[in-house]
Amino acid sequence: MKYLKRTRPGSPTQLVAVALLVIAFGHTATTAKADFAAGVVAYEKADFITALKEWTAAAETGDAKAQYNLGVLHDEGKGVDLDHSAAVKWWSMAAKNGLAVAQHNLASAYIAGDGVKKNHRKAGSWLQKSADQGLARSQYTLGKMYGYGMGVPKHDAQAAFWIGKAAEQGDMRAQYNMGKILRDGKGMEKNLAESVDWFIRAAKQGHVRAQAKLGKRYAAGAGIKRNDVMALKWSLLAAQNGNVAAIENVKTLKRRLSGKSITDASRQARLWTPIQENN
Amino acid sequence: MPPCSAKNNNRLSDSMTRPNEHHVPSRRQILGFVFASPLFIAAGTGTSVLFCSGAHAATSPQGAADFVQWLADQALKVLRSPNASMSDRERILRELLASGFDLKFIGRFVLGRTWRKLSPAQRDAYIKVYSTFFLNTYSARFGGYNGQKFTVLSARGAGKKDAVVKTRIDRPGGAPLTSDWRIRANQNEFRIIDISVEGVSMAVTQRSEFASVIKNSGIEGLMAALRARTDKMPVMTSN
Repeated sequence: MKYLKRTRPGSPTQLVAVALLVIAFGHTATTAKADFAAGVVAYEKADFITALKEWTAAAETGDAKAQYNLGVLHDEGKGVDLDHSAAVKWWSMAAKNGLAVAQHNLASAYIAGDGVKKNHRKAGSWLQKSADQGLARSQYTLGKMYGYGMGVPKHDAQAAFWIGKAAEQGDMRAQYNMGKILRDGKGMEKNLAESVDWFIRAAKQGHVRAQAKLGKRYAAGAGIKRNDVMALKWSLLAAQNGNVAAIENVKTLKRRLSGKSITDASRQARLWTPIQENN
Repeated sequence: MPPCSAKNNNRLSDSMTRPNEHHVPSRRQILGFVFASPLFIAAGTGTSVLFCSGAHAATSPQGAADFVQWLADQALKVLRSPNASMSDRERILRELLASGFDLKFIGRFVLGRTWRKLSPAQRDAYIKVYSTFFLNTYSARFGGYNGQKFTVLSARGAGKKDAVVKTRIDRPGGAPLTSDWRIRANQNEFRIIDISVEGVSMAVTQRSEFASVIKNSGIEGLMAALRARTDKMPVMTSN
């Protein structure tokens, strides 16, 4: 650019230089985009060697998504020997470029100590960035970290806030946790009816422990009108997945329910299928 | 998920003659097994795996060999399907893995002595996290293989209740890989409880890794690490 300053504005030399710069950078951006797309096509065909090559080309020009994807290939050992520290290197680059998914995976590596020394504080600070960008999975994890005081100060209201954000986005684990938070009044005011609403949302998505809790709530009439058939239905669904509390609840309910109610609940449980919320 | 029964109904007769292989294992037997044998799991370096729940009745070596072959066929079908996206392949592989491996048994084994110290609720939570960790890790790892030739080499009885099936995977551009699959028939279903790749038991390896994490940061530290590994975001496929 110094060269440009030395020439008169609007001189032919400057115009040529600007044109060249535009072509050079414009071309690089287009190429990176094409490389990224070519990498995706190869990846979908399970041709990881080509995906690796294409994404490396794009990553070297600063394409954060390509950098991130290279991290995943190294992390899963696709097209390359499994190498967690290489994954961390690529994710760090993409994370610094502001990519939320990369910030999230980098935080995961810091929590697990995969490819990098375990560091909960760094994990918390990356999660804060990706959570701020709206990534539900990060919001949930950050909320749990506030709950445990892991890498961030223990803070129940912050925990409830972030878990609530993820729950609203449809994350079923977050929804289940909201059910517990509102049941216990931990970090926000206790509200049994709202607590049940979250258990219902998580249970409908197939969250087993939420189904078990919902079964108990229907049986006890806690936060929701008592309904033994619904209690048995949800308990049966959780019990099928080996939930110990639900197995006990099924036994208790079967002792007190009529044959017709049991048949009814069993039929409803059999016909049930999970409906995932978009997230 | 198609059961293995269509192909293997003829095996049901075996169960009549081998009732002993179907009782719930006693604690002593489980411990005996644990101490006597390297247990376990899937290959880090390039095995293509596969599985389904079988309607086989007994851990006859022949039945176990058929089971492993059936699983391999199912998995290779998924892996070679030209139009499936990676996320579809991995999802179907997850289902195959979930039905082919005894994740409760393996999860318990790799936890070692810590298992006994957990409350029932903690055990539930751990098995859930471990299963997700296992399924995500291995479906991702196997999702990429498509050029292998999978051959069952031999099968033999192992211990009182199991069969070990030896297989070879020929890989383009790599040395062939031999694996031992330890299979147990339980409640009329075959389940994989161990894989040794090139003689190295993945379960034993994982158990010592887990032990060191537990030593440093307790069961909660292990759970946090497993959750973090489970929770990673996948490859981005759109701009």
